[in-house]
Amino acid sequence: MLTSAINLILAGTNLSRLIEGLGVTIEISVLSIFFGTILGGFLGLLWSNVTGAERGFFRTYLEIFRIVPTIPLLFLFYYTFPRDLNFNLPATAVSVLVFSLWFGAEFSDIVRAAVQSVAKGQKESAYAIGLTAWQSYRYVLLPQSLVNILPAYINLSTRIIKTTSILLLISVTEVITVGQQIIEANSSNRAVPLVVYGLIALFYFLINGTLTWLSKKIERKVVANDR
Amino acid sequence: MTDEIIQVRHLNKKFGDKVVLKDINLTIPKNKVTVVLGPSGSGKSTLIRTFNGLESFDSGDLEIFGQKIDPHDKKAFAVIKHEIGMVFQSYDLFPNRTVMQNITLGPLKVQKRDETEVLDQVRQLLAEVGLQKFENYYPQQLSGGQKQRVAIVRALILNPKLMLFDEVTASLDPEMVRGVLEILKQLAEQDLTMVVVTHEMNFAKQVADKVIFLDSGEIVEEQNGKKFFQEPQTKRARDFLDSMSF
Repeated sequence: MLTSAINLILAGTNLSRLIEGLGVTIEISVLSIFFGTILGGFLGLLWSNVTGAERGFFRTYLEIFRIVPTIPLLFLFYYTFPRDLNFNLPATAVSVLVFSLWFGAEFSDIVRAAVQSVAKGQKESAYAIGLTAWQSYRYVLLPQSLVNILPAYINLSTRIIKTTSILLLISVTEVITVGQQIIEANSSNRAVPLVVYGLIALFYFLINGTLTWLSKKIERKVVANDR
Repeated sequence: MTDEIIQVRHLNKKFGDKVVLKDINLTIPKNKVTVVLGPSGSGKSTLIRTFNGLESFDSGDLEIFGQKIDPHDKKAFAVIKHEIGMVFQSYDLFPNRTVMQNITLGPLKVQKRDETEVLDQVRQLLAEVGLQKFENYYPQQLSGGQKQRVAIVRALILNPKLMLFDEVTASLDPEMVRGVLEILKQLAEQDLTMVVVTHEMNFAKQVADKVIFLDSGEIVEEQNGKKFFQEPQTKRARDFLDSMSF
């Protein structure tokens, strides 16, 4: 039964459909990480510079995405807001929007913490030689923060990639949705779910495993330069 | 510009409810060495940090290079801060940059000077402090004394009109202190306007043209360097000097 299940996946368009679905997963992940990086990086730098009541805004934004599960947020943006606010966004756009906002929230906290962990004397030293705030970040604070930012950044990215598996709930045709369709079309073969989900697990493992390997490699290089 | 590079009148500062500087009135003379002395916690570092904007102040008048500083204007020092060099107790070199990169960051990115001219000046200054072979080293590869000498060069390369030294030997092992103090003495002989916070009394006695003695945030005595060490006018200053074995 297992052999026939494997043959079934490899035959016809099933494998190509799975890869196409994987492409949607990757596309949503990459776009979300890209926009979330810009948003989170910008907000993180702002956050690291404010004091008092202004911090409340950033903290609230972060906690919304930390506390509220992703599914209700997706439903709000896909079903509720379009109906109440009279706009229409395709499911993939909603996915990128919600995931970007989530990534941005968590990444802003990572950036804030990393920049604030750089010793106060570094900021004062940068000031004393006349660097502007932007120059201080660019030449002094951010390079020193990278060692702390990178592992958390990769961890956050792998979480985004894994969580794309829930997008089937708003009908995004990503790899899990395609896998479900193949399983339903071949329900007579009880080994098909094992092969399909096994293959999907392998896809995720390869993608996130590659990211993790890359992260360790870059981190070793940054630490070596950091001496 | 007058002969006074800094003028301070009735300057006050608090940290929360704690008064750290109280009714400070002083002048810093041009081309002279002013040494700021006092017990720990007397406000010495806070005082000199107001001279380059690292600390603000609550009230009073501060005039630097003839420019009045508004304590509520965050950009008050924007125009003049690169004319004021500062060296810190903890050196605070940038660990992600080599010695050369640490030193050239200011002149190239802030002052926008010609790179060849800057590199020549850097190499000359590194040679003067005995670090000519270290330009490609990272700070982590240097001793404390070497780091402090790089920090001094990093401040001097900006050709400042005023140099502030905040306890620059306090973090150094005794054998390294002498080397750094020698450099400060050489700078003093070059008529650089310097304000030095230090606990090194022998050094202070040798170089000070003027002494400001602070205690509990107030100026207790302000007078000629030699006279201060020979005949302190106040009991607090006498007690302080007696407590410092030199």
